Amino acid sequence: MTHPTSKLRPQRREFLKGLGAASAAVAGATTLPGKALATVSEKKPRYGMLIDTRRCVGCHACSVSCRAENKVPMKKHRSWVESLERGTFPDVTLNFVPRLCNQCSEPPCVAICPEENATYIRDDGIVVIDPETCVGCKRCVRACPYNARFMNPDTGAADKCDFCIDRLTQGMEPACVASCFNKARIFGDLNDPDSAISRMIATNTVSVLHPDEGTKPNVFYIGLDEVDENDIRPPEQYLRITTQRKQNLRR
Amino acid sequence: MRSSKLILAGLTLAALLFTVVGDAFAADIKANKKRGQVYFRMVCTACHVDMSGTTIPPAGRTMAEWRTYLDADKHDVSGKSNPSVRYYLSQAYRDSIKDQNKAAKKFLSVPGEQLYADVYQFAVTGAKDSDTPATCN
Amino acid sequence: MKPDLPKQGAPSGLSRRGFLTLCAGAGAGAAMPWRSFRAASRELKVPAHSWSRGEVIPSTCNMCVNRCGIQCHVVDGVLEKIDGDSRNPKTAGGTCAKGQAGIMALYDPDRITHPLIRVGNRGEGKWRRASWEEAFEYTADHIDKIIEKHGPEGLLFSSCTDLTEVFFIKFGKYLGTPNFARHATLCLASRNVGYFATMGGVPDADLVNAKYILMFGANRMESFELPHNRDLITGLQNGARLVVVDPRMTVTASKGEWLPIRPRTDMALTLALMHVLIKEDLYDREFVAGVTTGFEELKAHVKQYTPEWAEKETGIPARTIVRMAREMAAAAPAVVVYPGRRSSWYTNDAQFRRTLPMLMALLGAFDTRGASFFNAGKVKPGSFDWELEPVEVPPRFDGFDEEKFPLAHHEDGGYINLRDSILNGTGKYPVKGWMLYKQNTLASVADSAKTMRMMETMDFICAIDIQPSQTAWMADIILPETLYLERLDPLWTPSGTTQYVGIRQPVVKPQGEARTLLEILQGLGAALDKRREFETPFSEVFNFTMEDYVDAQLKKLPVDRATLAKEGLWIPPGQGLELGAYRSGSKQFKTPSGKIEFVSERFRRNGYDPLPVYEPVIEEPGRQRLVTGRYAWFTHASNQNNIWLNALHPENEVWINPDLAKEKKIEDGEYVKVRSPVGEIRIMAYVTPRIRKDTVFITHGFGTNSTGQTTLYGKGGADQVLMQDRADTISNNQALHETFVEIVML
Repeated sequence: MTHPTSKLRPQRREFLKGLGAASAAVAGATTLPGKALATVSEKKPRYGMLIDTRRCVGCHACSVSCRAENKVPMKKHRSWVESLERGTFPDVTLNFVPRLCNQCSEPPCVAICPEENATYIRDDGIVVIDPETCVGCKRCVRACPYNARFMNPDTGAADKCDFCIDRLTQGMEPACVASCFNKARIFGDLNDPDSAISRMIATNTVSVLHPDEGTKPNVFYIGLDEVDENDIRPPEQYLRITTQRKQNLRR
Repeated sequence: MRSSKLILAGLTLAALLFTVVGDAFAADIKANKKRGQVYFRMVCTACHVDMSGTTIPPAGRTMAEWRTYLDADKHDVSGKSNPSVRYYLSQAYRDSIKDQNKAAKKFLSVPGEQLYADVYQFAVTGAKDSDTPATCN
Repeated sequence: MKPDLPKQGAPSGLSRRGFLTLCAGAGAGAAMPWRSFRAASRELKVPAHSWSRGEVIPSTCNMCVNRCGIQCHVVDGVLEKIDGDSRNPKTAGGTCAKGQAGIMALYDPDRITHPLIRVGNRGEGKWRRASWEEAFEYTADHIDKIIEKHGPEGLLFSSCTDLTEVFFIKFGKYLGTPNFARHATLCLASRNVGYFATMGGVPDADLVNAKYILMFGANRMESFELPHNRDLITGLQNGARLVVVDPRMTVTASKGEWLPIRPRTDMALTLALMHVLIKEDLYDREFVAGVTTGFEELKAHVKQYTPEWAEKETGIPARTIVRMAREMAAAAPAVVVYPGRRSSWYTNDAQFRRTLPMLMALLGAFDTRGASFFNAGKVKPGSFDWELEPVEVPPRFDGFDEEKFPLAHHEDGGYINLRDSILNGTGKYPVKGWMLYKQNTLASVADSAKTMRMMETMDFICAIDIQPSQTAWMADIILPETLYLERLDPLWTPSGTTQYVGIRQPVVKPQGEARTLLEILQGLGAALDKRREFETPFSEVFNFTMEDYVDAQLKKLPVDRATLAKEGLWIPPGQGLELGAYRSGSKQFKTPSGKIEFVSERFRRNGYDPLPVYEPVIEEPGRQRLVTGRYAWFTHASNQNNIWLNALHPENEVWINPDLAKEKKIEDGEYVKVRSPVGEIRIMAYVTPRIRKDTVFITHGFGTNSTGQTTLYGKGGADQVLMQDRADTISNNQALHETFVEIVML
């Protein structure tokens, strides 16, 4: 009845090994708002997030914190959590995958946008949307392999996670990071080898969602359960993926 | 008013019969545990905290220890305060502190032996080996 | 909404200062925390969602009972965002989904913001708006009538646990009634009685340093208890082994080894574990000899409880039980046998709970690193100088006393016993008035049809509440209280691994005409004083402000109210655990022997089995045992109507094992009927291998009868409609997992 949590690990890859110079393991995440930013060197930062799914309990603090911070309209989601339950009684596993825009270095959403300046990558690596310039063609929404974009009925423009830029400018961590009880999320500068996130990435096996898409995400996971409904598995094997988004298909 | 000897005998008997939890004084004095509690906390505990900074929770002693202590009526052997516990439950003592202490004032007319029975029952039923130990909160 | 544009690269001075203070408190260093990278990056028009952060006010959350430290961002009197307070030693900056959704509790369109007096039939939902003056007169009239006829003891006071509960209880005491019903027998009364008898208290747990953690049903990953949920995750990351015994695979169980035990047989497992520890000589001889009593009796008693016998009872293989015992012994003393919190499971719960500290004692897993420990609060706030309460008070009407329940906490009452006394007419005298303070009895006590009948016997029901809860909806008058974000509360001093003083203070003005509980009681007390003479008039008792009360609490502490209001909390020096006093014998356990009692003297002298005796389980073939529990985003029955939280989980489901679903031809997602001997509900089926075939699970708080809860009404089904009114025999804690139900296709 034991259930090893790492039965299925397709598509895993070692990521950014050796990027950080630090050798000591970092216990837990930085808990101080602004600390990640305070350690930014004079070099330009590239922001990223690391989610340790082993610490995630699927409590939705991030989901609701994001809604509150970003005034996300009801039924739309910048941040959501997938719960994956799988197996046959009593050999069952339950894993969580907190989701958000992956802030890709090669974002298909930006590539497909017909407007100049409507969506672009900032120098700090954050992919943003300018709702004033966006014409609402929805191409980016369809192009995103992570289903991270949606049309915001309040603005008529595409919308998605922007790592809470507004909080960052004030030295605060993104809302989802700050609210996470169990410190499952680490936010920081990937260009700084001494940042907590870089050290965690250097000392752990991390993976990204859909590396095959070539999007080069800047959101990393430890212990990611990457099974999705399109994966080949014995037909009798039970797998249920639920999110509060009411869309089971995981892209 | 009954003699203290009689009361003492009654108390010892009660201790022997282990019936204090019920109604030790049913025959003579019906103890009011709630009044005992109020007086204990408002007068006894308050004074001990003031004088020595320590509390005297009922749960700090066993039932037997409380009985022995109260039956012996030895409040203080050091001589810094009155040696009798009864003194601190007497109407005379209550009268002397009634202006500073609400409980002493309110229970001024309660006979000393009655209040003694009340406090006795509160302390013993709240002792650490009782069924429902009491703290001082 | 119109975006409020922050200045490019330099946010408003207020919020920056607010942040600096926060940072300094956390010791984040001197680096400029808001280093502007925006100026260096490409020009960006501010996104539409952006808002200026305004003022940051620290306070204490109240979306559940954990009281996490929060930082409230208020702009022009409007609460825009709640963040955790990273300086808070208990929560370290985290909040949960509920804490985040406090905003929607504040601005809930369903909230009651002025007094309501019933005009239709009870529960019909027809109300008229009343002024506070009228509301006080109306309530005082009814209370006065009841006192006239039945005395003050004709009133029952029911309250939910909260920092302000003390005022409500005091009000009842000054009124002169002994009849109170607090939350304990809906929750943890049996655990407390079991632990108290065995070791004189319920210990805390050093989950960070534990090597082996055994939990029975406790679900720290969904039913939060800070800092235990975070400590547990950290402990696991430090290499601890977690075993969760539960018929249902909770999120907590998913983080460790799940033992899907046959329900109500938990005691068979603990007895068998003790059997193996003793038989294989794996127990801690020194600890057992030093600080326990009754070992020889225990040894003789558990001889019969072999792992093979336990396998037949529990469904857990004997070899697993033997392995567990050996693993625990190897990890000892860094083992936590977790006490759990809500223990309202079975009718023998107090006896089962006793086996947990017994198992702990055999392992010597107490008062040392990585184990259980007692940790009394070091912060001792002063107490408020109350007027004296009446001491000539009649006994309780329901006989919840030394004779009937000698080991229970009598002032807290026992709901099942209390309701039966009313319905069966066995009470010592009639109780005809019911004062409710945020206690949602219809949703929280098993068998709501019975609660409904109890309400019908009442001449008057007054509910002080924030929302139109199921129970408030049945009242004659609802007095709207302020939300935790709108009021100053008594100070909060947690006991446990973290020590501090926290303040809950108003961050916004009250919505509508809502008043604090203290103001409500002051108004009501004044109206009552006009009608009759009380031993101490209410005008003399409640003649203080909340500020006075807090100042009295602060009297002995080196911090004042203004500082506390600014900082949100005060942390005393010298945190950290002092362990070893009980092991060495310099401190004694609060038991009759002063030791951990395998054979309980308290149980023995009151006629209960002094050693826990296993009772075989009686099941009902063809029917499933109903169990209940929580999701991480709802607290009891209190916030299923919150718009943000309801969106996460709009309705509850009944969990059904796939094999059972196949037999019953029930499809996942279809609506079914769940029927018990006392009720029936319609609910969606959730077919999942995360539960045993002989068990079904329904989370709590749905199926409201209050049309005032517009988001929730009509969604899901209520577990308490199905549950039979069983209770633990020793503590009268309700036993919610003793009902068998039938799943029927619609």
